[in-house]
Amino acid sequence: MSASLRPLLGCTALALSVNRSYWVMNLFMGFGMPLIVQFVFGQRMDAPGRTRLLIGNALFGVLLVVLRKTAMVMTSDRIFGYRDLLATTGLSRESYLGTMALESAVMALLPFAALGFGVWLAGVTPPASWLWLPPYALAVASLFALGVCLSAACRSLPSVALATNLVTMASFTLCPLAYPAERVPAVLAPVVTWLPPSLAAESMAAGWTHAALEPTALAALLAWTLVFVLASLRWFPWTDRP
Amino acid sequence: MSALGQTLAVLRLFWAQERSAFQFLLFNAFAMPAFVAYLGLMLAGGSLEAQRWWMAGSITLGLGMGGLAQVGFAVLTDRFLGRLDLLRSSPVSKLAYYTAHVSLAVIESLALVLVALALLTALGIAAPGPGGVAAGMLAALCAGSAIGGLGAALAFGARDFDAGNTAVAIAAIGFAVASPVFYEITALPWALRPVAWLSPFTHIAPLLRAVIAGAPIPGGALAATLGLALALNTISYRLARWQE
Repeated sequence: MSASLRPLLGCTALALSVNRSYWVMNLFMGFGMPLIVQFVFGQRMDAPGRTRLLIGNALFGVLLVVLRKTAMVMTSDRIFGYRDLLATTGLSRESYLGTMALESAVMALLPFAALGFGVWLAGVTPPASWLWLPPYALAVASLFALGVCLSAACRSLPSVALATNLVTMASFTLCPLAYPAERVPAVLAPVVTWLPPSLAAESMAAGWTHAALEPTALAALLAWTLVFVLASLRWFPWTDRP
Repeated sequence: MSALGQTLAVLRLFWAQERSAFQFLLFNAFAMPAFVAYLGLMLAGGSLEAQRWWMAGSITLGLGMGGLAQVGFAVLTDRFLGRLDLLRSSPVSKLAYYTAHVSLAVIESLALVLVALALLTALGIAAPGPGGVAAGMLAALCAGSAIGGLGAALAFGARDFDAGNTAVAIAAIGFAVASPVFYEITALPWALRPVAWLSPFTHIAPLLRAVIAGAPIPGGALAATLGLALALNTISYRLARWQE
């Protein structure tokens, strides 16, 4: 084993052994849940319906392992005093946010893998192009930043759990992630079709089938991402005053 | 400060501490099943049979998520934020603490089933008779106590907050999704069917389907729900460690 590989494997093994439950949770939420939902509900659907459901499930996975995980971990770091402890080591707020962003990017590989397994095992038509990747990346970035905003707003574990559950479930059910946008009731359509999960699902579905990407939808998704990133940079507190 | 002022101050403090926990409970009991039911309607289209199937599944899911996550999360925060140490130092017994949390899960389950049945009847989707409502209440009682007790046992057994949170979340979602609630048990491989029979949801879902459709209550499902509730509560109470 090369000298440079040994410390890396050692660190990975240490991280896994120290925080095994964290990995198990994210593996279940980001990879297991989308596939379970796909197998349970996709059985009776036609091919376009299965593709749509798989894209929705992958975004559901992103909601769980990026938005929910970020908000829960950051709030738990705040409540249990880990952020105060990290601040005493000289770690800056920006480094902490950057590390969390990098970790979320790694976590976003789990729903990405679920997409691959969905194509392989659940009879979903493979993507006709890679154009679905940019909206997927924008969805990850916007939901990460929204998670940071939620953690900045919540000061207790029940409140952050409630807020993330509400955002996650509302996004997955009210936004047309797993079903066609035409089925959204007329009264809700003007609002929900312009929310980030809906924009991401629409753009991903278009990219998946190699249909023309809607520039307005992509621009709106990019705008949401910028708004959430700016809000998180403005309001995320590093430490609380004693 | 007068006695009334002190009482009001304590009540204000209590509300400030417990408001989010109460909102969490409301979310699990009402918002969560409503979201899943809405998703079901969007996926299923217009047939009454499909709507009833989805509604029964959604209520079952709400009972599971509500009971297990609510009690598990409450005990976890009590343990790891130090409130349980405070309670242990007072003359509160394990039985009283366990019963208080499980009772909350039962109340939440009863409220969920009652509100859901009232709404579905008003929308013309459900047609439960008095016997059906009674069977639905019994199913809620059994589900709340059995699943709430399981949440308590998982939270008591966890070595730290993260491990407990993981176990509770996986059990809450896993129990409801891996049980044949949204699909027939025949869709499961033979090897998994005995495990599925041990899940309370496997029996609660057909019970609720019959209640919603106004059909005769399946006696086997009712007996299995009662038996599993008794067994799970006994096991969970024994597994719940009072002393660290």
